[in-house]
Amino acid sequence: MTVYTTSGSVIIPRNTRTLRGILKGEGGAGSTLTTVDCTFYTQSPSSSGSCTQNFIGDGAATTFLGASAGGGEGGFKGNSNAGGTGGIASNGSTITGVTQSLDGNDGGPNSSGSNTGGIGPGGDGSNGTSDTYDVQGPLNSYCCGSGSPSFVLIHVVQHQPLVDILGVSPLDAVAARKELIHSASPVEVEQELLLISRWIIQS
Amino acid sequence: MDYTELNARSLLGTSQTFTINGGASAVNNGSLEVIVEFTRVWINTSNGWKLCENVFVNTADDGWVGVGNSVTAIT
Repeated sequence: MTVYTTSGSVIIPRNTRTLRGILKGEGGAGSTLTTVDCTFYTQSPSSSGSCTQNFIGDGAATTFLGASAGGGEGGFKGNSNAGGTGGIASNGSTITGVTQSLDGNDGGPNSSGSNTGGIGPGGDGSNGTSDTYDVQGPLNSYCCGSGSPSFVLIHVVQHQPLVDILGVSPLDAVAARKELIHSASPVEVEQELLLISRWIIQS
Repeated sequence: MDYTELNARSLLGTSQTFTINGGASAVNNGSLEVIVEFTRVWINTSNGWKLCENVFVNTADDGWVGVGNSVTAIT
């Protein structure tokens, strides 16, 4: 099941052999001409001008175990008639074994007649939300599709043969093999399970 | 991430936090999938205990959602 909730936690079972995490950053929002945050626009709407701020609506990074898939930037990127930069995938400093890491592409440029967002490897950028305007705004205020999400895949295959006869729950496994378990002592149980494991391998 | 690293980082048996969709865009959802692997899982069925090998489980914040792979009888 893919998780979309804003925050939470995932339990890592004690007898997990390998773990794979697939993170996709949130895409940025497409721009709306009437809400581009540009001082020049509000002070002198009849002249060309300059915007230096990004349109509000950046996507957020998806993070887990120190890995991060960056979110796409909002649709208006500075003075450029181009979408915001796609999110940056990063494995962070606490994770090893990143086998695939793809940055998102920039969102596509937009105009009054075309507002198609970019297509990135992690996902498509969204379209701009407006393709018409009534008054001349600042230079390049008619852009953009949004940046696309980035994508990071963490996966390391475990090659070392490790014995594991525990079930999803160690307690269930112990209960299932209770005829072979004579002690409630964790140390003795562990020793018993080790013996069973060796027996299975030999057989 | 393999068992060695999971164990070295004391991650086994713990609950790890994540963040998704915290931005202002709310357009294209970000997402997270966490898949854990068990090399052997014993399952009690109507025909007795069965051994499942190489079981991959797609987990989430609301618990387990599936288990499956090749099934062989206990010898």
